[in-house]
Amino acid sequence: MKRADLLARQIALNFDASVTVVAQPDLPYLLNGPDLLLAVPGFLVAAYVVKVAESSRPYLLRSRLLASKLALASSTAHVLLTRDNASVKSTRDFDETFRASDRRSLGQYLHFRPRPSSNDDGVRHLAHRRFSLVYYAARQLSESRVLDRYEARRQGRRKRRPKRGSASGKRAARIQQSGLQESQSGRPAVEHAIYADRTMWLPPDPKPADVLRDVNASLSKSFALDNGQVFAIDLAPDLLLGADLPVGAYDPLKPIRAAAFGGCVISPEDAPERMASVMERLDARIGRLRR
Amino acid sequence: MSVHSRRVAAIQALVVGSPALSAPGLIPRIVAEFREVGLCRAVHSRNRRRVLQILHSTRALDSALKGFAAHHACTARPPSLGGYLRAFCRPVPGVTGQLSSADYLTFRQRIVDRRNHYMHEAGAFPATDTEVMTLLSDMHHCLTTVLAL
Repeated sequence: MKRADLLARQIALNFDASVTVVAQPDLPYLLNGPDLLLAVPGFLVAAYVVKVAESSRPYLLRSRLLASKLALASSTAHVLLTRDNASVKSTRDFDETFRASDRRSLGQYLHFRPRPSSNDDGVRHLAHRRFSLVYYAARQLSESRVLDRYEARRQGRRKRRPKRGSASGKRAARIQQSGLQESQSGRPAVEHAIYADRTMWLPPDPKPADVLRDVNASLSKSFALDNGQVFAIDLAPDLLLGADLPVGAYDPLKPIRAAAFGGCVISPEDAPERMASVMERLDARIGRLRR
Repeated sequence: MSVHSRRVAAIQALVVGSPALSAPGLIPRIVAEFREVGLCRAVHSRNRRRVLQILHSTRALDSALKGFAAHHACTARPPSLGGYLRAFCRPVPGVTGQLSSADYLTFRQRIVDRRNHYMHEAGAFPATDTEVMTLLSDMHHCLTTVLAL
């Protein structure tokens, strides 16, 4: 277990029954959300413990906070829990910072119920409206394949991956049929110039964690966090293509949903015409959001 | 803790922490319904287990949306899952956001219609556990979205 996860669980054990504490909560559209949720009736606190990777790359922590601020209600307080010997940059984006060993102050904060300082309702609603459009488009393209894969996994009949030779042969045939040109990397080139600079690729047999990096990149392109306030920049969606699509462990569509929340449409790479028509409609709808 | 337990616990925390679900006794009732979903996994009969999981989850969702609407003095006609979702598409007093038409369409097709089919038609059962998982996850998605309005 990672150190941050362990610390979150230790903190969770230190509260009495009047506080609902959840370590590593699994939220429906966050792949990497807060480490802890603490709730008393009518007040929710999302708490973050800095992970090892985040201490050297602070933008990862900011991405996590940004996604959580957009996903959770505006009345939620976002607090940072620091280790005693750690120095953390960019704490100004959080509503409050506590030492992880100082559980008493965190407990008092919960019962004091301060009103979070940020006022970004307009941006949050913009993010949610974009999310519902992107998710709708992604489901049109990917849902049936993801559910088939999930069902196959559940039944323990993992489909054997075809041998390299035959897979590349099939891909070549598919590319020929669809009229796409093959790029130097062996991927079918995305001919629709409008999407070429917005396309990312999934690795073979992708895990939800593989989606996270692209979702973070896409989210940071769309929204910015400054002094705890969220701002919208560019709402144009990105495309995340793959031969295999990621499947959630419990919630089959979670990777697709979480990617959509970040602004990425996950799509199988072998349906270019359908993808083009869905993306065209999506672009038009998202374009109308800010008018 | 399994992913399922972490999901249900997270939804419970959202429910407890929501200022809009402060009616006396409402939170324990909703939380108890979500717990029942997990307990249903011990039911041996497959069809019974699947229908019970949907039943408890939809009761939690129904009650949460009803509590949210009551807190904001929002009238839904009819007072049903579909009615509440339609009502949340219009401006609600004291709520800064509203559901988009894409949200409404998604939740209508994926939750309301499927839920009604299994709850009201004799002999209708989800064919696979995947179908149940998808429906329950959609309900979690719906509740998270409404509580974040």
